[in-house]
Amino acid sequence: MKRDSFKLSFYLILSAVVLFDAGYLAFLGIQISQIKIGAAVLYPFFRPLTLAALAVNAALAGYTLLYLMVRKK
Amino acid sequence: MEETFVRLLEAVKEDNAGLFSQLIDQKKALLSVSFGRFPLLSLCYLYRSTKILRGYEKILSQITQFSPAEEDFLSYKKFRSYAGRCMRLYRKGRFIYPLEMLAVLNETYYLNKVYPYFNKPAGTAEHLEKIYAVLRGKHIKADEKSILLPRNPLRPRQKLLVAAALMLSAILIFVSAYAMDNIRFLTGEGTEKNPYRIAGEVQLIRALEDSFSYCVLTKDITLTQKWTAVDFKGTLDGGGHTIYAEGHTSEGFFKTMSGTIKNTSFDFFVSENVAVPLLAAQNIGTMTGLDVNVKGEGTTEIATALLLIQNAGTLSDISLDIQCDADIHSNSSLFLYQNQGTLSGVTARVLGNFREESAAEVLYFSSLVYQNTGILSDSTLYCEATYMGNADGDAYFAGFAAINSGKIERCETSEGSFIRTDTVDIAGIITTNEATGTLSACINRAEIAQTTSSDQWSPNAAGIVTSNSGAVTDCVNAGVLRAEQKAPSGNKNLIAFAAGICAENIGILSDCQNTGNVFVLAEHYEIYAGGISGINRATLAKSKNSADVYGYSGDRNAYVGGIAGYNTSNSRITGSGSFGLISLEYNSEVQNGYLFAGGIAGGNYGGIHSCFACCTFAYTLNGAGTLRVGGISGLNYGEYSYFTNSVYLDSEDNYYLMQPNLSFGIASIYYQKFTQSIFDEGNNVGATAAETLEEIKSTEVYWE
Repeated sequence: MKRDSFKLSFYLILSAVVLFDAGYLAFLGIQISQIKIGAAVLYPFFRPLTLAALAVNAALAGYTLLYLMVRKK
Repeated sequence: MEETFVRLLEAVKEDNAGLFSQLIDQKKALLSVSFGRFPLLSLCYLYRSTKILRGYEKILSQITQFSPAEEDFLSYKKFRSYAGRCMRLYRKGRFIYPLEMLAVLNETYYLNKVYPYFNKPAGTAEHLEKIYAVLRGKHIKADEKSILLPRNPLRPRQKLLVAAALMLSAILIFVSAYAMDNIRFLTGEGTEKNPYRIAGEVQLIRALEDSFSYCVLTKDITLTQKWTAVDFKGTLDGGGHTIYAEGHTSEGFFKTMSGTIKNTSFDFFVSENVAVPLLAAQNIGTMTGLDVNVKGEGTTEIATALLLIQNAGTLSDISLDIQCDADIHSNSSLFLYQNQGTLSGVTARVLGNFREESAAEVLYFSSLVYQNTGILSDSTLYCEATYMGNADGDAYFAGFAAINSGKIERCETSEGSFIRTDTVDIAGIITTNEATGTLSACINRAEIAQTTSSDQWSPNAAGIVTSNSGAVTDCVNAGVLRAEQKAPSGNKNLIAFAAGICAENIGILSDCQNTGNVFVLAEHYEIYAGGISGINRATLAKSKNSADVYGYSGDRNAYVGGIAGYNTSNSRITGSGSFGLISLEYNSEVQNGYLFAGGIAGGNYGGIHSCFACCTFAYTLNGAGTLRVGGISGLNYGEYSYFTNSVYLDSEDNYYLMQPNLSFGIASIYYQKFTQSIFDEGNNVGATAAETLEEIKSTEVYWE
């Protein structure tokens, strides 16, 4: 019997995305609070990073659905 | 049990691939051993002997005939814990084949994977169906080639993770999409509908440097670093917030402002010389609704203007509060150096002590504008200012503008204001109104006083304008005016003069009124005091004085008039009226000064037409002076005619209210007969004495 590598990769990806999302949310909070208090302007990488967060989480959702569909019987 | 079987079982249980291989190598037949109902491969699955399976699974899966060995009880017990009610399928000694073992162990995925390749003894498919039905409650379909297995339900932990993954991704997709779409509402986009929002210094720098089309302040901003002046062509709406410059804008806030600034307060602090204006070098756009505060520490030197050099655009609804002390060494102003555009709705408060340390040339200084060639209107100034000159060169100070060749209208100084100087000539509104300049509907309420002890100085104070070559109309002075020369020795070329509206008129002065008392005092200088004009050299029409005019001369000539102190040749006073007290005081036992007082003019060398005087007169003559007081004029210059042997006086249709201390309307006449200068007694040529005010009111020349 082999280990379920699909499940393992799901766990690994989920962990990575959780870490990425935590970082993104922290960045978002800092960026918004800095803008609100006038301490900074919008960082140039705000939009690329937000787009990346959107894409990564969309990918996670897709991967989760894929996992549910083709996971081990 | 045989020793070999025991070791083989132990190898499987411990997943000891080495021992297993050693035993198999010694005896290949061991591969077909079945421990009771458990074939070797089934036991490997039961004990998850992955190392052994890796090497022997394929061979073991093809074995169909088994050699029996004694069943291991512990294996049976372990299997039973998985099989439960399915144990009945194996009561009659049926082998527990590997595929069935996988089904019991719920290795559905693996079962599905290996099913096509494994040996399937008879009844395997039925057993698998039963195992799934009993243990999992599921119906499967199996035949020789394939098996249709249901998907295993997720375990609780898996369910949680999948749900968490889906929820996390959904939340983050929403958050990031929302942030992507709505960050523009937080920062603004720089458009009119969604202006760039500024809540701090960094954002302000960005907005101005990038010249965003539309920006709005959402908070007060305090600058903390040296500010670099920028050109700005966008729109900045301060929303009533303040930018505290805190002394960081020594190079100015803007260079050229060609956009719009509105509803913004600026708070400046100056502690050093202001070489570059604090607000902007040039405005060619629109500044409106500004509230500008300037506070100074120590004495500041102003090169051109404290706030703005040039306006060629629109400045409106500006509130200024300037408190500073300054050394004036060049033509300058506190607010704006040169106005070529429109400046309106200024409400200014100026508190300052100014002095002229080293300037030797003619110097003009003003609270608001140095030079106006555009429009300055609808503005109010509260002023508490003192200005000490050095008497090396002429110096002038005015409330609103130093030099006007444009249009100034509806500008006022407030009640309680004052401007006090020594060797600096002052006017409430402007210093010089040039030939193209117009000044209308302005009001001075400030107390204006110049007192000097310099024997090189002619003190000069006016309510509205110091010198007018243009047109001054509909202006009112309500402030007290005082010009006082206290020098212990005299200079016969110098004079002291003051007037309610204009110190010296060379242009057109009409429809003006004075209600502020006028005082001119000098120990050793000629004095000229007039309710409207100190000296009139051109046209003075339809104006009225209803205040007291007082002149004091220590030992020189004096001209005091209700309308003008002195009306020069080729000039004319028409349609004007005077009320109030005309007072004159002389105090010299030695000098024979000539003292002239009149209801309209002290001295008249020009024409006085259609005027009325309802004044009272008071005079004190201590010493050797010659005093002439007339209802219309104290002295009138006449033209002697050789043909008629008579003296022509340019005085027509004038009326005055008779007083006990008056003899004539024209108190004395001066004319040239051949080479002889004749100073003669007065008469009533062109001047009619009225016994009552009603009599004057009934005449055509009277107006309210």
